[in-house]
Amino acid sequence: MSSPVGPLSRGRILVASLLVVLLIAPYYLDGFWLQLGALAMAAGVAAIGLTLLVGVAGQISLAHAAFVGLGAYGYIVLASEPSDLAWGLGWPPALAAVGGIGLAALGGLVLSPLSGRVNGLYLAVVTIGLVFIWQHVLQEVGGLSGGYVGRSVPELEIFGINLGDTEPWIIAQVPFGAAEKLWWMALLVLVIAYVTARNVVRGRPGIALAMVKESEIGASALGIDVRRGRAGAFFLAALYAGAAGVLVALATQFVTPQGFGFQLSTDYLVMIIIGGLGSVRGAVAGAVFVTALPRVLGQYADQLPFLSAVGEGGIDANVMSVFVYCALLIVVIMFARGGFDRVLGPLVGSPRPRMPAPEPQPVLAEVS
Amino acid sequence: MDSLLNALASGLSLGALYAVMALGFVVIYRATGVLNFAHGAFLLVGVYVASIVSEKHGYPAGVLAGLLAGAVVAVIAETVFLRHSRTQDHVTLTILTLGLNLLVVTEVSRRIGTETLPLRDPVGNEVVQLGAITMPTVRLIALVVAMVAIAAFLLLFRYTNWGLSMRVSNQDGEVAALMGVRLSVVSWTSWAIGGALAVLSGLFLASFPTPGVTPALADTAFRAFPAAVIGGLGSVGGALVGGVMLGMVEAFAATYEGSLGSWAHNLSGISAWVLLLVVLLLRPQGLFSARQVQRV
Repeated sequence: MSSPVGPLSRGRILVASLLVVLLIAPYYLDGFWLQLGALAMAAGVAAIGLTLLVGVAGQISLAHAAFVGLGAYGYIVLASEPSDLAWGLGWPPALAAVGGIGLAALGGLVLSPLSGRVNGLYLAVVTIGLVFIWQHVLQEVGGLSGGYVGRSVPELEIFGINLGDTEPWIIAQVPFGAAEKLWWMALLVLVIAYVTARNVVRGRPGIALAMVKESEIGASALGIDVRRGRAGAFFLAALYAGAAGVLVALATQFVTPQGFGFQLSTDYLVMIIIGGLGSVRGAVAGAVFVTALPRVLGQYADQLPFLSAVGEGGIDANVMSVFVYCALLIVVIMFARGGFDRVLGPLVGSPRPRMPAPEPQPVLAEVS
Repeated sequence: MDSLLNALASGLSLGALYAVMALGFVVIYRATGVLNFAHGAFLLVGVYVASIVSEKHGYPAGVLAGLLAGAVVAVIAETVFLRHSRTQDHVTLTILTLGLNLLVVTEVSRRIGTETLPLRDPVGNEVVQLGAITMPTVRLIALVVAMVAIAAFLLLFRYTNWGLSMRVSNQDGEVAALMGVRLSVVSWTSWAIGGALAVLSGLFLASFPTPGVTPALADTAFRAFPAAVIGGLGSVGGALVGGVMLGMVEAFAATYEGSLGSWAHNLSGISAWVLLLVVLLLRPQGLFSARQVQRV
């Protein structure tokens, strides 16, 4: 545990080489893996936001999918040209991306008093409600969701640099289209999100929130504004979700309301639990796992003897991955607190082994 | 006027079913402090078993098997998974039930596939006429059965040893254990009751006018969540009032959404959630739970 934290510690070398590998990966990967990577990194951003809210502040939110959707649809509506069927404002895409994130953050801000007032399990139920209300809005407002047609996602363009397929870059004789550019974009966003979250967790706000989670009364006795802290965490989670939403929209290039439903919210919770609740790097690991599993299994379904094709009623790739990650969730909660984070910790020789997890409470004496 | 009376009647019946389901949540919450997200799974398993068994052995056997299956699944969830978790943090255990729910619902949905399984209840799609009120006979029976179930539960809760130990262990588990209450028994029986109550309301919710057993039934259990929470999670009376309130609001929204203009289309689907949002913003602990006072 106590490896040196010099500029050349094992952890830093590992992280640096991982970054280098991720940077040059688009040279070698094909479309499937590039899209998978972008989606996994987007999920990572969202999961980091959620782990700040659930793991650090101790508030369960099942509305995360709604905020991700708000970011995605915000970007689409702002950036699209208006048509008969669907709304569009025709903003420059870069501005629209910021607008999409801003919209999700605004949603978070408007609803954050809820997180400040309502606590714990009550918030879980209210936020389920938010997801269902959001789904209802998407289904009823055709201008927003494009009705049965769904909506295609406009290409991103930053300061006149096209990040879509229309102007591929040629680097070392390899054409770089939307998928490759998006990979780097997602990586950049993920790194920013990661570093920010680490600073939040290790800085004063994180310590204050951890205290609130331990004991509300204790925290307020120390002068921590409990409501404000919780509301702030909710806002931050929505902001992260918005950024993830824009990335998801860009990676899938086509969105339907079903993509942002209750199941997605559950997936995010699964990610942060199997990653190790409250751990930022664990959230990213969990996100990569949960995102990749169904897609990779689906890609190789015909070569895996135990999987049947989708729609045949057997165990297909989606069902199989639900089984696997639910089982993992149950195992992590039942036996292995810390999840992936416990595995990652020793690997990078972390100076801070893991989040201060609350000790298991003593079992009540039972008289029989 | 007729539509008002009809809305009242169907709201009352629906509300009674929600109240039964919410009662299950509350019993489980009181016994173990966990908000049970796997309620939809219990319901779906029970109704699925009821449909399968009733095919060969008739409807009554199907109902019994379904109720039993719901109770057994609930007991397994408690004794195998929740009790043996290393963490006893309620928030984490609540997420565990969410995972269990996803696992079970995925498997049962896979078995059901795209079909709609019939429940084969003898009443079928008959309709009764009571003055100006027209309602499906099943819904009328549902109202009666729900009231009987609620009354039976309240009597159990008030006058039996089990009810006493339940109330006592909710008050202070440690002291209850020292007084000879077996907490483990209290908690697994509570889960069994919760599971059976979920299936009971599920059986009616899957009958006419609903076509039959589909995976979407599991989501219906989510609709009963607001009922339990509106009243205040730990409160039995609150669950009943919350359930009826919810059923009423939903029935009224369904009756009048057509005349409110296009924005209200399908409003009844989310009315429960909107109501919940409003109630919790005004009273964060629900309507009936006492203000929490904590001693440091």
